[in-house]
Amino acid sequence: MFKFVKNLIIDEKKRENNNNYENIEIGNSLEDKISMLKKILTGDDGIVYRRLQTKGPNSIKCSIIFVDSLVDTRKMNESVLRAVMETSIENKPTNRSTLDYFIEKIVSAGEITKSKDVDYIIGSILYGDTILMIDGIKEVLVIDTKGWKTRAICEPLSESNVRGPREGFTESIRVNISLIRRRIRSPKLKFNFRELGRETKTKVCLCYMNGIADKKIVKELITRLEKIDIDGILETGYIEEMIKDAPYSPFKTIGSTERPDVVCGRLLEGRVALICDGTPFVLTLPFIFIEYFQANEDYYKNYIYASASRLLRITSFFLATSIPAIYVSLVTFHQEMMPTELVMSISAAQQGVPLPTVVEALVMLLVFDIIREAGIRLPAPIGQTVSIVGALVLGQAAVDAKVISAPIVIVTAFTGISSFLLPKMLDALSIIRVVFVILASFLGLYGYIFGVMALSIHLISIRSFGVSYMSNIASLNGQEEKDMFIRAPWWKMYFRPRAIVKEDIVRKEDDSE
Amino acid sequence: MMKKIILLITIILSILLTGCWNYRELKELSIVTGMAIDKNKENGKYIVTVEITTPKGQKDINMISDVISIEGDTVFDAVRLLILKNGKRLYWPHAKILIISEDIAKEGIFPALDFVNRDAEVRADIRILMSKDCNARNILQGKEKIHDSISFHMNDMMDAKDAVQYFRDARLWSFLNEISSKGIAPTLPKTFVIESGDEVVPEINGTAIFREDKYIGELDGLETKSFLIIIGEAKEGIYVIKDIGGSGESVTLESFGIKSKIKPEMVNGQLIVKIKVEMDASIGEITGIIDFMDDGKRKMLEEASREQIKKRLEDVIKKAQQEYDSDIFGFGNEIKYNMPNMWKEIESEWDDKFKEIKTEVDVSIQIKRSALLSKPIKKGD
Repeated sequence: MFKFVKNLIIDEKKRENNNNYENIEIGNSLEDKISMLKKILTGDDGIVYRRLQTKGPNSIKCSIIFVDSLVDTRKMNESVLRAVMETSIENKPTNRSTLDYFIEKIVSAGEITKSKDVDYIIGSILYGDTILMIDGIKEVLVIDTKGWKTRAICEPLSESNVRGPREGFTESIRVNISLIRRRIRSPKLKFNFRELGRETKTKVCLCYMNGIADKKIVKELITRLEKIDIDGILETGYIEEMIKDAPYSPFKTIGSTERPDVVCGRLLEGRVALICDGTPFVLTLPFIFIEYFQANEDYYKNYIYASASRLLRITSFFLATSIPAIYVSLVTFHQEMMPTELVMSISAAQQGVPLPTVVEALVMLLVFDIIREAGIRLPAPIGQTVSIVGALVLGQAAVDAKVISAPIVIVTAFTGISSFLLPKMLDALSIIRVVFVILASFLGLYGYIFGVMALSIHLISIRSFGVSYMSNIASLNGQEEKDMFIRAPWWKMYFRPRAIVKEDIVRKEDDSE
Repeated sequence: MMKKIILLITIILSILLTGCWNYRELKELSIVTGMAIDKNKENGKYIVTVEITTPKGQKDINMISDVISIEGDTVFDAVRLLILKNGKRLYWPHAKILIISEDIAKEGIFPALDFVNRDAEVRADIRILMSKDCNARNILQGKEKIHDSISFHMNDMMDAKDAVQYFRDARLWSFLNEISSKGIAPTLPKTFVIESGDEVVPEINGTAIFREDKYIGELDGLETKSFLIIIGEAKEGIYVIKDIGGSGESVTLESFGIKSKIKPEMVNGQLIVKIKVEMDASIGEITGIIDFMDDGKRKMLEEASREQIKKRLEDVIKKAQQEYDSDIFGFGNEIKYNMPNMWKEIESEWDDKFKEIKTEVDVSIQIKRSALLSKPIKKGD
């Protein structure tokens, strides 16, 4: 019922909003064309209409149209404006050859296309191209003069590292592509552009290694992208949410990163990247669970330390999800499972504290999340104040005033610190541990184990673009385990991950013989 | 849609209606750390005494222990009546020590042990002791400076048993095993109080010997040491060897590895239990100036130690056989495992047979080290 009404409204809206330029015929004369464009772009004062002429006896009347703020003015002046105005035309060429003459002899820009598609022309103007219209010719020239200020390439804030490249993606898709292309100079690397968003017409680029990436995954991604129908895409998060598998799961099934080296590493492992104009975050897919634990730095530093820190991250996943639940179940159900000394000290700390342990745990987890959230969106100088106030006031003072007990502060702090080892999983972790605490408060360790089982079942049931989310976790294949819980030395990693790559599996020839 | 609603209600109800099964806050528990069982001779009621340790203070934790006791018709009855005095239910899993009075032990220990064995909250590895010459509750009521809780103090003492070896560590489960086994007589460590000035201090020393579940006699601390060597529970320890080779000097041997084996054998149609003890020792202390690491002297020392230790072992066996007629060493079990056919024959009359069984003690001692000094301290040449 609701669905039907919703569809009805959407259809109506679509009909109203659809700026259908396809039916508009482009005129021959300059005046026709200018007035037509002016009519479509009416009210936009940022658009510059400039009439000009070539020199010589058979001078040709032209007009250029561009958006002031989007074009590189110097480039436009040199390659279009001056070029046209300083050309002297002796013999009047035919209509057909005039365009070619302009393209070949006059305009000196790198990319020029002929077009009489009004939709395309409008789009180009609004994306920083210059339109050159010639009197008496139906087709117009679309000249690439894009040039606007972009943020400089700098170290990505969300993923800092000690060893490794310091470059991060920017908001410009062209810069981002250059960052990837510069690292992989192989003809196999393909970039495939398309537009998403009815109004924003955001440029999106599909990027994969031909022959390494599974064709089925590329095809599936394209079909999913084609189904997207939305007015605007402002960030890859929009796309991620609309095409991801297991949409209700707190876990990611599509990876995102700000680092070009990470994207290149994943491309070489047969994954597909999706770059979107306007955001430094690039999607990579398929995404499997173990990628949460793989940091780019693992691959740059000594493999022993890399393996150790990866094991540490896996341990901290367990700690960050389970410590509060285990604490609650031990203290409220299984006091006999703790050593007597621990029972005594926890019992001492709880004397005079009014709240039950479960409520204490839930309140402290909530407080921790509040402090964390407060720190994220504040400007850096204030952010530090928040953590000091949070740690001192809520930690020290609350314990001294016997509002909460000291062990639960320790438990929460430890849980929080553990979860910081997995920055990409923070959100999922904070949900899981609360669920676990609630289960533990009903049934003790029994309930906690139920939670763990449910979580395992959920994780195992997820697939990301046809690849099992937990693939290789339980594999007995030595080659596949080399980049799972540990990171084997590079001279031992012969194959790309088999779960993702289907064809060109060999990463490195075995040269041991 | 209807199905979903029903499913949702089922889930919510299954969570809400269960209540908090077994949910109890730690701070609301009265943690029992020690228990003593006495019997009132006049009316035959049991007197159960518990030590409840409550930690106080958030930063500097002080253990405050309260000892409360009450009479009841049975042990369980008394345990429940304790709530009248304490106000809260008692929490048993952390109880360390269970003391049974001598009076109960003489009459038979089973009635007192049934509750602790049957109840789920008391652990099977609770330590059992027998109070000697005093009421069991007097021990928990003693004063101890080192620990705030008597039970913790006694527990620590028993943890350090390997270094002292004046008593044996008996757990509830091992004691019950020994009672129910025919081939071994149960033993318990003995505890009593020492009055020094106005302070009453508990001490553990010696072994109480049982026949079935009745207390019949005891070994003192030194005898217990030998007893522990025979049953193989002594792994290390110190042994003072006196008057070596008539020199009048004493050497203290510190042993790091003691192996002992009880092996019954048929020799000429007669059952002989052979006890073989191997000991690695080092010289821990010399009271005189003789250098016993010298080859000849070392032989002498080894010889003397072998003689003396062998004598001690033989004395203990003799005492068990003749004085108490109680197979505390588990000879019966060894026969059962090594000669099952033989055991079937003698099982029914083992209690009488044990007294007459021949034993052969073989001790070998090797002195290998002399701690940090290679030669004893000398007076100026």
